[in-house]
Amino acid sequence: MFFDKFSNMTMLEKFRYIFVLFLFLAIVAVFRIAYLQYLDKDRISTDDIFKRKELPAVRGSILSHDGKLMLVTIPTYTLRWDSTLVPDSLFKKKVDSIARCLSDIYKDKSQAEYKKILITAKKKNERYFKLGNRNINYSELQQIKKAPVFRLGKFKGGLITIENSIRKNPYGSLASRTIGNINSIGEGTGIEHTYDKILKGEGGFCTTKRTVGDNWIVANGEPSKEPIDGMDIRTTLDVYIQEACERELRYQLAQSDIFEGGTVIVMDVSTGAIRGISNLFKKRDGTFDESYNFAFSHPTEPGSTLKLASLISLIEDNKADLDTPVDAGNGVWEYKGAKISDTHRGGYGMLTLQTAFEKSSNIAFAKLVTGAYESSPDIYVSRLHNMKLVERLDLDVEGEGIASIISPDDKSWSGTTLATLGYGYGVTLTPLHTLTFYNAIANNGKMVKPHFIESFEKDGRVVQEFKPQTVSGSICSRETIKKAKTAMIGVVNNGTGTVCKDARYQIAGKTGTARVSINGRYEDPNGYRKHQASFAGYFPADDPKYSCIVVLYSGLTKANFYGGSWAAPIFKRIADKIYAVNPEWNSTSVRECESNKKIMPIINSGKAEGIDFACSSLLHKTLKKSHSGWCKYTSDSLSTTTEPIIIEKNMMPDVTSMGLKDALYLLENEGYRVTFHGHGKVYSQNPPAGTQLTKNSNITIYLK
Amino acid sequence: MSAKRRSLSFYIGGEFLSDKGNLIKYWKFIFYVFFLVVLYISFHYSMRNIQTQISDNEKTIRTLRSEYLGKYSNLLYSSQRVEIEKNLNEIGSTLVPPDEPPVIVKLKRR
Repeated sequence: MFFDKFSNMTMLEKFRYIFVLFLFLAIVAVFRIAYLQYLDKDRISTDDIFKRKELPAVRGSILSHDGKLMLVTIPTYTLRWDSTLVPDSLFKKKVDSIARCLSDIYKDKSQAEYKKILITAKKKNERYFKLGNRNINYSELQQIKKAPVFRLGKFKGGLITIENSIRKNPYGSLASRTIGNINSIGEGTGIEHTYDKILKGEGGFCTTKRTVGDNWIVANGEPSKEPIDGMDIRTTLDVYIQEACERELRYQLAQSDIFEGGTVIVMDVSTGAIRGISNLFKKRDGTFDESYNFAFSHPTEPGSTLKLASLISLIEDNKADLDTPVDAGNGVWEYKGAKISDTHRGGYGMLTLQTAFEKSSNIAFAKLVTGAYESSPDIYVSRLHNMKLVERLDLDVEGEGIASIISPDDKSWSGTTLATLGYGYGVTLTPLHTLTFYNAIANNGKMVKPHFIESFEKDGRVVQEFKPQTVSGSICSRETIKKAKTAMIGVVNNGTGTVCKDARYQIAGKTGTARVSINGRYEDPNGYRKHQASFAGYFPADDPKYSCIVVLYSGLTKANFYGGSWAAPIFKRIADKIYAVNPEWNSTSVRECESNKKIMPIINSGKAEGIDFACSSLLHKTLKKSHSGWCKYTSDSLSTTTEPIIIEKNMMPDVTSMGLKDALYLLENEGYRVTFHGHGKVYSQNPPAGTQLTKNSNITIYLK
Repeated sequence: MSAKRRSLSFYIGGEFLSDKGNLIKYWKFIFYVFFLVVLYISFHYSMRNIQTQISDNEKTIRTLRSEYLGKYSNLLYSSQRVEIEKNLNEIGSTLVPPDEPPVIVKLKRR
């Protein structure tokens, strides 16, 4: 009846009814929304829709001086397994494959052992079972995700991935003591700890909003703060030199059980940049690791390497010259109740200052220094201070040890102290202090501050740069420097450092052997002693590029322990390695050839701009530039012709005669998938040039 | 019909939308506003899609970065001299480290 009445109504009346109906529905909807939004006890709050998400800052990396990563944050993954999500039938079928995959990745258990573990976990319905014995990297994770059952994902396969991050040195333990570390409560060592504020950056946050499909996206207009990533630190370390230092030190320490540890430092002469530094300390199990900083935290009496300072003082104060005679006697000299001896049985007899330095005669130096300064030892001590021997280095890495020289005013100064100062006792220096002094001689008297940090960088751009700093203008006169250098060359050519003699290039340096004080004594009641063997010097002697010090520390022993036998060989091997990659040191490594302008080289196809630049720089000729962009080059011996390579969307270009890099770059940028075989230049391609293609088409190129 | 009842019928009954009301005269404006509303919704929807895509891309970048760092670390480790020597020994290579530095060839113009 109503429908009859409805069908007889006018259009306007019908419209009125429909309008009222929709109005009623709209009012009901509005009331319902208001109820759900404000009155319903299960209503969704803003917390369910909006969530604050912390945005951690990416910690900066530590780089070598040429930009290679030495410490970087990489993600690692802990895997756990919810065994209840996997159906029993599927699990029984695939357990062998899963076990094999886990065994191959973790390598800690056999396949059979993993199978047993997985079956046990499944029986117990473990919901959070830990897989493996360690965290894995991204590549390993991808391999595990391809395994049966696990490839079904989190909700069907039960694989739970927990992402962590670790700081990793891609080179293993290389320079680990210098690069350092930091724990969760902020304790640590090395660059990583010293520059924690620079590296860590500042975290941020954003507000995310839940959307359809339980996706959380950033909510615009809500509170947020961008994270500020940490800066990268570019160090002065050279990976090649660092590896040489560590390897040679480790090799030498393995030669005998006598060693307790050692250190090697290589420094750039003109700038003071530390190119390599290695510290190895013997652990309880007899192996060595970088757990103790001998290099600049461990001051000891340097021994004979300090004779260089005595030689310079004597010459600078006009007390002696290189040809000044001195009687080293029969090898034992009694001075004020103490016996001073040389290692050579029977003594050296008459020497000059030069030969005394070359042979490292303690008696000769004790006689010369006491003869020159006995009446005024404070002058000698002042001279040593003037040479900045114990100057605070203010290193840019924490842990600097304190160097010191005994003073005539000290209570411990005795009648024989001056004599022992002459051959390297009474002064405590770290190896880095000694090297800084030797470096100053190599640098013609100018002492530069050793440093480890070159710059702070952000996204490859330098934010703050650290220039070399001079500690002292000149530590002595030029004449004295020249004589000191002559003396050091003499040590290598004629003296205790002949193991460093090389016909290809000249090394200059000084050996050092010192007894180490144990509780104020140099020998224990049973006659055992601890020694320190060292060699400090620079190379090449005619134009010094690098200075280096090697110091080895022995345990308690009755044997002798000489710098020339133990430390100098390490120095030589490191210097040889550095020499072998520096052709500019040797003029015979440079050959001049006349270029034949007429002959044209064979040129691969590629980008015209780059090829033009290469031709003009290397060949001093330019090609006839009629095209830009990608070009194909055809050469005979006298000329080269170019023609443009046509690049069109969805059409295969001609990449023959290109190198692999250019061909891959061009094709992949066009959106194609490329497979290649062989190496060299592209000689064949499939499909041929001009073929119509679509995005993600497969292309094969052949090279020879 | 009283003025009040006519007014009730006019608004509640929907007559204001018909040609009896003035509203129909502004149909162009109403369509324009409707068009703007649709545009606004589509922009908002599109923006949300882009934000979702940004979020997905960020995840992709993170995974790619993880992969890159892992592989680059392995490459750096393998590029050490000691590793290269070990690998060469394993394949029985006769290559030895050089004693002499490489030669620099300087081209002189004739």
